Amino acid sequence: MHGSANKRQPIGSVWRTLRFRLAVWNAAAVIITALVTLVGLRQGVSWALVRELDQVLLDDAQDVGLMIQETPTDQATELQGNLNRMAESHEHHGWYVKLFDADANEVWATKNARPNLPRPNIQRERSPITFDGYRIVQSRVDAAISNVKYIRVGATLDQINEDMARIDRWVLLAAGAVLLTAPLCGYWLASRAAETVGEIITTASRLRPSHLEERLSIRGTGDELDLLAETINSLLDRIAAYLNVKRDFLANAAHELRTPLAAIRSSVEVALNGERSPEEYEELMVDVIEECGALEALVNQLLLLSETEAELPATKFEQVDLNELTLKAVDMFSGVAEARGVKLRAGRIDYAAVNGNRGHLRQVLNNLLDNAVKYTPGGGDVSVEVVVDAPFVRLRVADTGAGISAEEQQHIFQRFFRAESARTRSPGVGGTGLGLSICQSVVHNHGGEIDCESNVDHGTTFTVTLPLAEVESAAANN
Amino acid sequence: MDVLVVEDDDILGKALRRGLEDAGHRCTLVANGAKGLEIAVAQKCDAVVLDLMLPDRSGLDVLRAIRSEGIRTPVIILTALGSVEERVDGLNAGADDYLIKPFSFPELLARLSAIARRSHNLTAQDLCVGPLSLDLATRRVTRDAREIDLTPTEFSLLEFLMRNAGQVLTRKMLSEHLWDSNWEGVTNVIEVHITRLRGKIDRDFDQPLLQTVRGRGYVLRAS
Repeated sequence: MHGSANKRQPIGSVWRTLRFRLAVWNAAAVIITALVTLVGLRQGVSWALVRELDQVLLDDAQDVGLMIQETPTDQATELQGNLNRMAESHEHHGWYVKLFDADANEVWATKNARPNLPRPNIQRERSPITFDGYRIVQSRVDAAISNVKYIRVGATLDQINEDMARIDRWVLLAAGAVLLTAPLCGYWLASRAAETVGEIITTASRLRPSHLEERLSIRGTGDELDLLAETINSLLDRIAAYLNVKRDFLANAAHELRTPLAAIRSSVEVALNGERSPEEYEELMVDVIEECGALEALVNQLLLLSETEAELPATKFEQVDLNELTLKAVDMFSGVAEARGVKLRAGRIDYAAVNGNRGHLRQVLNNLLDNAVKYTPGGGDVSVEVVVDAPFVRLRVADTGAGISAEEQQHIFQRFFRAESARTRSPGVGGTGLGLSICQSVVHNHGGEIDCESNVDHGTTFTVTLPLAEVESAAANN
Repeated sequence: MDVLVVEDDDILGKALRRGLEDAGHRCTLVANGAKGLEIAVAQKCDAVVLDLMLPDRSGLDVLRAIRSEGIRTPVIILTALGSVEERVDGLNAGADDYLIKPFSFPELLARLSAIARRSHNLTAQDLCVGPLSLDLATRRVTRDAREIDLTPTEFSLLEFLMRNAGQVLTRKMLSEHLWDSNWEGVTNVIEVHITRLRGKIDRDFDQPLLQTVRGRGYVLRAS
């Protein structure tokens, strides 16, 4: 029925999809890493090649230096021939040797030496420099021949530059490949991840309050997406359970409303159905108004329950003197208790201030006292206590009534549950079956607990534990 | 008293008019805010019973408009919304009282006369109903000059009944007055006290003053 709506992507723009952003980030990371690696590699190779050449030149400079030193002056020509042969047969292209005098004037050079000008100004010995496409090393010699003081050995960088150009071509090719493939791979990977998210979205958008039985599939990889799916599934479980409770509650409430409505309807129908004496009319109208009262009470209790379940923000709480509230409630029921022959008495009542909603707390007291008085036979006792046990206060309502069986004790806080004794008693004793669930809801809303302890034929004790107001607990400590 | 009722629900409006007329008031019933405002501003009424959810405009707007004209006619708000905030909103807008639907008719009457009393500034020291009199200062109660001894709860109950003599008071009103809490359970917490009070003020006399009105409540009547 909502098929077309489900197919539509709920996301506005492609640029903002998780898939796209993941792909972009992924591609950027891969490209940057690849480029840095490639450039680093290229630089490393270049550096290594030059180092290798440097080493050769240094070794050669040393060899040539030794040769010059060992050559007597008269054999200079022979030396020059040797050096020229060396230059021709050297593994490095453009290798040459130059000899200088103490004033750095060129004395002699091999045939293929680089042109004289411009001339590099070399300050340091045995430290190669790059000059005008050449790598040059200068070394000092103490030669016997024709006042030679320095030698310079050099070679062109052509070979290395060629090699580097080749490498650069490969690097550029690789970089291009990475630039092309990284976004594609990134998009593919992101799509795989986003597919699961998309599945979650599709399933979630299919869910309706009326059918919540569908669940997301768990792939069993144990990753975050599985965890997300599990979390959503358990959320759905809880929502479904909650909705079931609500549905039951609504149905129960509607059923409860039917009884007084039926009574009103039949009373009025009877009144309209033929002539009756004024007394009879009055009788029927009184019945109607009494049933209206029952309806009103039920509606008010339903509203109170919904109000307490909405978890009022604590800011709406005021300081309530529980002792005063208790005494008022006891006074309210004292007349009824006396009329029934039940002894209702207030035992120890400590001063106890709590933060809360006065009206709601009063309803708790009223409900507990009403139950206690109602289910205690004549001659019995009902006692009420307010005992401070910082940082808590315990309100106890104990009766010597019929008690509640262990089986029934599990259900007494359920809405619309009525204990056997409450159902079978004479009319005038029953209630809406909401009293104790209202009590529980209010007490929980106030951060407290309500407990029931009961022995069949011996009586029941309800204990409400509430946190004391801050000011009060501080004062109690002093 | 001339009462203006602004209520758009036809059945409730008619019931209110009939009830008010039975109780001796004159009643004007209108079904929308504009007409209600017109009559209230023309000061043709002594009190206004105003529904909050009206077809043309919100009752609160009507109320604010009335008050912005400087008109002090007492206004009782009638509404199905009963939360504390809504109540505060209503009172802040200038309402004198607030009744939550469904309400019992005697309660509306009692509140109307309370408002009328307030606007006439009547605070009596002594309350008298027929042969019965109650001195608020000394807390002495007498009937035909014979002193009657009452418990504090009974005294408070009698005072409330005497202040509203002739008017039916519901259990809810009495319970709220005595113990600050309405009790809607099946247990009738008021009845015992009424019975006792009746035993003290009526038993030894011929004419019963405190009467039970079945299905509605209790009334203290001199005749």
